[in-house]
Amino acid sequence: MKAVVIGPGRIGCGFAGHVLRESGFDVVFLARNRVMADHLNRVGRYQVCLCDGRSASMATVDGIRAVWLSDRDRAVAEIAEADVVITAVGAGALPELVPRIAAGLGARSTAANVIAFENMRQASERLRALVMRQLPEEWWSVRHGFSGGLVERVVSKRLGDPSEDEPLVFVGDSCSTLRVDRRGLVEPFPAIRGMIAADQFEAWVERKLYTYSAGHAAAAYLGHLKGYRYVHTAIRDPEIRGAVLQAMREGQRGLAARYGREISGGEGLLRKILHRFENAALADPIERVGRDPCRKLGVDERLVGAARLAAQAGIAPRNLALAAAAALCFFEPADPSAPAMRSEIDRVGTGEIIQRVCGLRPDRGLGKLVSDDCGSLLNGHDSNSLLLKLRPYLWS
Amino acid sequence: MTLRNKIVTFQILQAADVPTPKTCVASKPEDLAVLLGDGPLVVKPFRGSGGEGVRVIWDAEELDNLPADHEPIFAQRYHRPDGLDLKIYCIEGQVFGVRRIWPARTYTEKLGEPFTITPELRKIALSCGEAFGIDLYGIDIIESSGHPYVVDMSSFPGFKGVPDAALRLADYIYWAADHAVGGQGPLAASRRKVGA
Repeated sequence: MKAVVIGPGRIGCGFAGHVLRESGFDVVFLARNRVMADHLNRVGRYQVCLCDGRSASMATVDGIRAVWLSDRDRAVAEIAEADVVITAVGAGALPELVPRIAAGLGARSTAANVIAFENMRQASERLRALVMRQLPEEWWSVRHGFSGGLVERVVSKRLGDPSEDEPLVFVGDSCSTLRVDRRGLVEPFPAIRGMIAADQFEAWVERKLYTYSAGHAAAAYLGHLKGYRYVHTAIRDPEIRGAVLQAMREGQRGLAARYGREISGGEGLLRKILHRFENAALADPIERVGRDPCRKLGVDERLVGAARLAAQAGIAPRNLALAAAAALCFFEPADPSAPAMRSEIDRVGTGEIIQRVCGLRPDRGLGKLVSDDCGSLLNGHDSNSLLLKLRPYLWS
Repeated sequence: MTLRNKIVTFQILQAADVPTPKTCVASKPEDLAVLLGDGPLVVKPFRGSGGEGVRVIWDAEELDNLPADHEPIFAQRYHRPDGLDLKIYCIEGQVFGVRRIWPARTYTEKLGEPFTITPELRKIALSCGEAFGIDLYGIDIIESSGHPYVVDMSSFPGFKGVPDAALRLADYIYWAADHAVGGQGPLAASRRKVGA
């Protein structure tokens, strides 16, 4: 069995390559970065350090090779021979890969499965539509599988320099569950260790987005206001911990109302998530988790989407609204989108931004909750201010 | 180490244009008498800390009570505080303020009350750190007739009264360790050690 992984980054190497090699696949990485492709070919292996906060284990992933994605013929040939193609490049970069994927699929007579490890909604349909648009009609007779891949593992960083000869190390937590969309894939399903083919894939996507991702974002945005640099320290702040837990509860109650308890999970799930946030070995920077707040404040995204679902279930999403307001104050210098958001807020005001970015009316319901919290936060806040207490707000 | 010596500390602060009370050093207590004509002085052990041995000298007779131990005598002009003492704590650019009774006796008094730092106090606090090239420190400020004066500075103070101080320090120390190994994290440091 052969797997092609497009994107040898944190998830591509730290999760996909690791579980695929453990499952007995031959793994070929397609890299956009030539230095990375050369490194993997030269060194032939990398390491995955899995930490749960108390212990760590190091696994060597060897028997791998890589192809530079710009080497079109070789990249297409690798895809044409693969049983499963995995993308891990970030949803925004997916369209630029599609011509290679389409050419590779078009060059084969048997079906393959393409799985996007991109945390995107409607991944199966979107990926299928993107690829099929590029495939000539005469090749449509082969029905390929397309699915999103819901990866539980957090891979927070890569250690090492690909221009050198020492194996890279990818640092992550020990979660190995991978959910894919049963309806999107074709038989035979790839036999990947830890893979669960889910019937209600979109519900599982929402569960991750509205519990784990909502909590992660809330910890990052509130933590940033209070001056923390890492998620693992922010989540130990009693006020932030309380707000994050409540925000996840709000999202979870919305999920329970829509999908039932089997999907939403219970209090145990939230405790497990909090425990994962506490993992200091990941050293997950708040700047990374909070990056690109405009996208993360989208109407169906982790905070506003979860809050809307909660509101539909009759729950007042006060903590999700607070986290969304904090996201509007995420003026992190290292985030390239921060200056633009700040100047837009200064130019048109928060109400307009809430309408434009979050898709909410700032004068009613959830939009008003976000607007009121945002007004309070921005009122006492300049770029030098630190929030000392959430309720009532105290600044330093 | 520099901050343990108030004579050197205040020379450096004054060179950095940090507002401090007028400061002088005498070899004998009686040398200070001439300065009392302009108002009271605060005398501090030049290697002291925690407020120990600090006295306000109002007239020349009180100079007789100072220890004649051949140590340099560190003295500053006394400014009557407008209110409580201000303890300012800095953690790598983050500035926290706590109002506190001086001298604080009970634990509650030592915790004081957090307050919002003004831009002027922030600037003074950051100037102090820049003058010594340090990230973790505390300064004591008194405000007198509306003017702030830095009256003490210490490296790695107790951060009492700063909300969630232990967490904030842990957060900073982790970050500093990470940057000390080139942004590769403490795990990278341990790898280097194992490989060395």
